[in-house]
Amino acid sequence: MMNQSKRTLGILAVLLLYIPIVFLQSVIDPMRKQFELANTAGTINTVGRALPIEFTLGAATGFREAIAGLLWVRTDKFFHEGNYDAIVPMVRIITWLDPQNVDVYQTGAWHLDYNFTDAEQRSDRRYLPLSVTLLEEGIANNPTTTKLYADLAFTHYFRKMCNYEKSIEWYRKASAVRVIDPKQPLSVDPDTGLRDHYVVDAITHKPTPYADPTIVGHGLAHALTAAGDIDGAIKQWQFCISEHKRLMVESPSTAAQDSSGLHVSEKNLNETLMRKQFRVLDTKTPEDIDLHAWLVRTAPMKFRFEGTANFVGAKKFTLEGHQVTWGPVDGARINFRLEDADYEQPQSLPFDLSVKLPKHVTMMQDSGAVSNGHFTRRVNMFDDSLGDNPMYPFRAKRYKVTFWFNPADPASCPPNLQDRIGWVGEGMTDKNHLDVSGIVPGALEGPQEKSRVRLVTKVIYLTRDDIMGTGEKKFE
Amino acid sequence: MSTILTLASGTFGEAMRRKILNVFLFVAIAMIVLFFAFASFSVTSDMIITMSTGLGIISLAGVFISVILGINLIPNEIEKRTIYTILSKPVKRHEFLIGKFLGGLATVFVNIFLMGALFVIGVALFKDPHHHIRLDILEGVLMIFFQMMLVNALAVMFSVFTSPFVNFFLTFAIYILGSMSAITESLGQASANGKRSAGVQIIFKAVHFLVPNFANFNVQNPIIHPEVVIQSMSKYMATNILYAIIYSTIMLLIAILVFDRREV
Repeated sequence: MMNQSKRTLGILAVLLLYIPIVFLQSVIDPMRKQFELANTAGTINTVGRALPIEFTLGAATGFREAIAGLLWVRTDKFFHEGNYDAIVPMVRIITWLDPQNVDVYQTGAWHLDYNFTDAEQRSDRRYLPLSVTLLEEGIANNPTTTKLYADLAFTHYFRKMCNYEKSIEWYRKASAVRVIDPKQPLSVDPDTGLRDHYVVDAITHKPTPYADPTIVGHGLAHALTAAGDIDGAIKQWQFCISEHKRLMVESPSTAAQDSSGLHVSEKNLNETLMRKQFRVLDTKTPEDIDLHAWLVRTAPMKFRFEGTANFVGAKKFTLEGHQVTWGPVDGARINFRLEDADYEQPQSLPFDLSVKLPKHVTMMQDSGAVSNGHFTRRVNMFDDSLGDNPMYPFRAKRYKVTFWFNPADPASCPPNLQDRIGWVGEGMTDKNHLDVSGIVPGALEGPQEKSRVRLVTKVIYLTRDDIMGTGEKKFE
Repeated sequence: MSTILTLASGTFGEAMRRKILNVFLFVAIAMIVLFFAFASFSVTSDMIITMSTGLGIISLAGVFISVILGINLIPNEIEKRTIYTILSKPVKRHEFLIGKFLGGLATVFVNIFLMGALFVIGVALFKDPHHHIRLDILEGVLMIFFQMMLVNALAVMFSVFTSPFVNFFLTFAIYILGSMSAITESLGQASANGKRSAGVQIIFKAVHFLVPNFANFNVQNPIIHPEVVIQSMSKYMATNILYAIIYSTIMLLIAILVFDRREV
């Protein structure tokens, strides 16, 4: 048996050894965040309550990613069954359990942006703020994965919201991604941004600086073009060309992909240079779009969105010494949106299990193609106003209908029309509806001051009675 | 030292005679099923679930081996009265305890690394399209071993003053609590709505720092998602190994102090 002094020494040693334990734990805690459940401070209560105990225990005892993976397989099934309401909480739980599963953030945000639709395949835009939150959270949890930045920049801000400044902001962040891994060297050229991500080539086994010049590099060039920063876009295409050429030598395993990327970059650079030279001349005299837009209620909650617009394109130009006239131009699209008059959509929403979607809000957005100077689009909102959880509940007393044309949006304005009215509408005007506020309807944020985008916008206000009334009636 | 090593080798040999490696057989069967179970899922999901479940099975099997070995190491000797023979020799009580612990640890080591090697080979043969040997899996296996070292030390510590039955539940309860580091840490901080009282925060902070944090050792995530870049992985692993060694030392010191006064 130990004597008393040895025993005291033993007890003292136990107490003293707890000091390094507390110290080590405080060193481990910040590093451990990279390996574990995400955002526990914000969502622990709601997720903890909703997650069945066997899942919680499984997650806590080493099967976290397996559970998340199985739930994700189940979620995919929900999507194919059209059970959209079940998807949102599943995405929440899965990303909480496995915050490094980038696929879930990407696909989940894509569902939120595009795939919750009405009977006529128009997406439910009330989910957009959730999509922003989900992707931003994904980026925070995976700061070195450029895929998520590019998704937020392109799929979300560029395509869905036409918010080109935000798109550029996120592409720039993707370009500035740093790999802080002691096993991999840091950037040789940190100022250019695009040379900071390294991959080991499958053939040469050598590390190669890489930031996906196609997904990130090309995307940034397109966003700069849409924002009207043509010199920036030209520089970016030049940079992409040099990157593709370099990678074709340094990374033989992706040479075919880079060869294709190189051809696209060269084509786009040449086109941009040519357009830069000629559009200045073609857009000198602003063309009057002369937008006329109206709404026809054909039955309660059923409408025809109609109007006329003068899209002439590069109507008159000299070709091989002859004057050629071309127009009116088909292919432009007029966007329209019907929403509660007093509702301001938030930029982002907290994404926990009890998602508070604005279920009482009505918000519909679509577009109509202009053909022979006229557009018409039938919209049936009646079918989605029924049931317990309708997409168009029509609870408000007043509604705002906005028609607009966005010359910077490649989906709304084809290149032959842009040749006449310019990248951001610098060659167009409208005696009644020119809008230089820089606010693109539905973009959540704005104005986009740097891009100087000029829109043509018309707004009509309706009452609930106007919406619900019977018989055909025109509003303008 | 030689006394400790002799005791450790005896304990290891006894564990092997008790066919503890049969656990390995069951795990091997589970893994073979695992390699073919998720093939109908997408390639990404299949790999994620296989890797996570495989490492999870190794971890779970490791916990059972560690707990069952740990809780019986000392009581078995007392029950069979072999402890009298040993302690009547020039063997000190602390040498006996450390020897038994190291013997148990060696058994856990052999089991976990056999399971790990089987998993690495299985992944290369059945899952990796290029049949590459994924040595990074062994990083996860190494961390599971140190996690089990802590579980073993905890079980040995409890075994000197509780019955195996009570010890089983006590060790498991602490294992589960310590596996929820993220939750205890979160509860030890102020809540977003300010509703969590200071008292509750202090309690959870104490729990977080004083209860062994088994979740520290779960490094499966970057192995499952190789594209994820982890900052200072080697520093993280080294810190955790140091944590496991110091914490196990504390557990053994407590065990020695209690066992020293215990009448056997």
